[in-house]
Amino acid sequence: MSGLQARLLLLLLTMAAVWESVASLWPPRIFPHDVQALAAAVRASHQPGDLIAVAPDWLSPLIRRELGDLMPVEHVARADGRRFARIAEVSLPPHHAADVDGLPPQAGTQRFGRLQLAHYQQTPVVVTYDLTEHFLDLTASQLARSQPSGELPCLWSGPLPAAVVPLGPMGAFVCGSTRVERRTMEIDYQPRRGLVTELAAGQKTLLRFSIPDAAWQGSTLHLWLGLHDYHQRKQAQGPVVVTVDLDDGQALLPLTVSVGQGFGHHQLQLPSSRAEVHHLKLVLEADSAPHHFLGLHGELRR
Amino acid sequence: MSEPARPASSRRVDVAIAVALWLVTSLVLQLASRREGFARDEGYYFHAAEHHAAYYEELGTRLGRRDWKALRDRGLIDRYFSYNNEHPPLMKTLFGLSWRVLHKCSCPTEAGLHPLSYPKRHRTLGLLRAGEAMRLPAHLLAGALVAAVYLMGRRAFGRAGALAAAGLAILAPRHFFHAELSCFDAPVTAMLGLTTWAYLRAQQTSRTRFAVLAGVLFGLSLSTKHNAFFLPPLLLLHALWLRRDLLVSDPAAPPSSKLRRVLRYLFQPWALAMALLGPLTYLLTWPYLWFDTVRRFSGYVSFHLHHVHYNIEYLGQNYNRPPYPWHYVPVMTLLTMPVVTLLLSVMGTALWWRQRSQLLDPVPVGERSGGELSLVLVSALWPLLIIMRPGTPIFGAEKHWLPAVPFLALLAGAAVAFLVKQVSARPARQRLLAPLIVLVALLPAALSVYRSHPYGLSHYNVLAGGPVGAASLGMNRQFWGYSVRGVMPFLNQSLAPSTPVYFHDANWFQLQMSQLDGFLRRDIADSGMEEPGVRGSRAALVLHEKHFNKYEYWIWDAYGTTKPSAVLTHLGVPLCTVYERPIPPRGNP
Repeated sequence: MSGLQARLLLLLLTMAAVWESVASLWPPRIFPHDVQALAAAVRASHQPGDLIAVAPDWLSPLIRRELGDLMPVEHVARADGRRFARIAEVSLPPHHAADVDGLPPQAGTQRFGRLQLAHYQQTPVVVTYDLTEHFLDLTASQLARSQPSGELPCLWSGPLPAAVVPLGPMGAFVCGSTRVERRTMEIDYQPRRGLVTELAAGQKTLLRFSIPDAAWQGSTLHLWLGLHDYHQRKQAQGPVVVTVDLDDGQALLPLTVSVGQGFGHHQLQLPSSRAEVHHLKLVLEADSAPHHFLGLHGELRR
Repeated sequence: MSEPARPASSRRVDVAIAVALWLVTSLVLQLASRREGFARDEGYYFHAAEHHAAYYEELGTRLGRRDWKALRDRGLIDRYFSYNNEHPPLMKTLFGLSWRVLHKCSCPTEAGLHPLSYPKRHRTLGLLRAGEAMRLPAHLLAGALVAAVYLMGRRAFGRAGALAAAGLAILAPRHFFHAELSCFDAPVTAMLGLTTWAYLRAQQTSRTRFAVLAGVLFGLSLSTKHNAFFLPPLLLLHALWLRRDLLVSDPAAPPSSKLRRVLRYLFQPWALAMALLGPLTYLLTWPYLWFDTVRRFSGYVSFHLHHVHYNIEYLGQNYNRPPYPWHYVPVMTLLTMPVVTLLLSVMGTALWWRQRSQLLDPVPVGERSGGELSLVLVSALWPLLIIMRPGTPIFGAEKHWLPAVPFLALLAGAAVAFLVKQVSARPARQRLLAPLIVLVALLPAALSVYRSHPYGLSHYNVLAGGPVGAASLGMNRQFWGYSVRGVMPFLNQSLAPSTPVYFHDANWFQLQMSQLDGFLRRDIADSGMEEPGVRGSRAALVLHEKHFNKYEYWIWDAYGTTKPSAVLTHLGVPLCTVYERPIPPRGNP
């Protein structure tokens, strides 16, 4: 190699060294003052019921530190953003929240350092009944898979949900050694607000909701299903079968929830028969029950 | 090609440089580590270290009374070596002895913070805090590795390249991070580097003392971490290839001479030393194996063969069971090592291969070539290849292939040496340019270490877009819960007396050391583990790793809020988030 070639090599190396050194001295970063200015802008235009969506997910703690009082767990752990008329999206471009897919941003997108604030509006769906909200109206029971009779009720144990959460274990419907709880689930590493049922070996768990006709008529049942808790998913074997029974057998729909899936979304048409109260029964079972914590959230939407 | 032996004055300068590098590296690591949070595994090793120190203290006392039975006292050994016997003892013993000699002792007032009770103050030199003293042996070993890299480079391609290689060996953010800790990954990197250096010197000089040294160092490597078991095949293959000339048959030679040649080929002195002195040193340093040896050793091996597959996030996916993607190792290396170091390593490999005559210093008289390039190259690749096997756990990320780093640095040093020699033919100009070229090589690496400190496990280089880019790529941000140190000032200042805190992935032993060294208030209590710990707490932490998301959701449910009180970040990327339970209105519990 000639001296000239060596000098060219050195020049290239020096350029790379300068590039990397500059990147170390002035690295890409999110500054606290940008987060605070963005939070002030969000707060200035915020109306009750607005959704604050954050993308990518890793930004969320920074935004919740400033705006957590406007971001209740029901919003942060939503199944989707279709029930919100107004969405403020905080993002690190080019990332976008799935909630605003297909929506055009309103005028006035703002930049705060590397962060971006955009506002979106949509015609929201009307939620006529929310299974998670009506958790305490649930009737839970267990039935041996091998016997068609002998259903045992799962009774409530522990403190009732309250605005101020007391120290100690949460309340739940207790079915022998397993429980049905309302909680913020971890499904596919995402927060999802819903009901968790721990499946018991050799048992079916039955969840029943009685839904007023006014909520039922003209609605579609949206059901999200997935397995909660990665520790459990790591050891769980085989799927969970969820049978959706609408109005006492008028429609019977088996759904399969596999270990590796996320929060799967299903839309089910409701029978249009008239009744004062309609019945939704979910029958949960698995051939290999251990480590299956079935998470679900459901809404009747128009 | 050979030249007369270097003058003694030049050799003395090189030894002085090596010693200076050793001391400076150790000192820098010792000072830097004072800002470094204690890691989860360090907590266990601190605990074991005090046990080991107590063993040697009690053994010394009994031997001082001529109680020779103490050497074979199984009860004494089991009492102090049973804990954490899934890892070999050397580093824990060194941590413990360093602590025993150097810590500022107020042990009688620290009840509950030590695994053993100390009714009297220890007589010590009182130079360092407990954690600093525990970590010092790791710093000294990393310094020794840097010195050995310098000596290897100096012998091969001269002083400038050697200095660059030595610097680059430690100026890699992830290596620097691990070298600060009382753990085994950087020490075994050092031990394997030192053993390889001794082996190389044995090949170059044929001197018995280097063969013996290689054997002893190999035993110490085994006693540091199990990675060392992978070294002999590599060295054996290298040696058999290097000394293949011994197999060239001379038709005139008698059969006995041929046999002697084959025996010399197969049983080289270093190999004999490693085969004999290695296991002997290993056993001597690990009294736990003196009894019930087969069962205990089998248990140790079995633990590592059936190790739990922990979680690691990579490109947005959480991995916790094989098969793992083969590209994890090269991609992580590409995104965490300083880019200029990697560029230089590639250049150095090519130049060493193709421009050997323009790069290498002549072989000194009385020595021979030790197959340096092939040794350095396979030593750089071997640790990577082992972890690239789809069944090998990847949860430790780059710490499991750290032993490659000093050899990547040597390849980089070769490129620096080449540039120094070829940019100008004039020696005077070479002398002028050499420091500048070394600076060009070292500056980006040094700045990346500076920028990453003290959150080295969150470091990603410019190719990833730094930590911000890596977070968006879905790369693991940390493990071992060490970043909890960053929120301790907030906890100390904000929490009411005796507040029960859910510390998530930070274990109580590492927190106890933080309390011993004054980083965390003594009255702050641990609320316990998993969900009962969260629900019984008044403040809670979550350390951000993908698979830990559920813990944050537990906190939201238990506290009725998603609003954190504090978020510790590195360049804006959340590492640890602190929640405080909202104060209930008067009258509520």
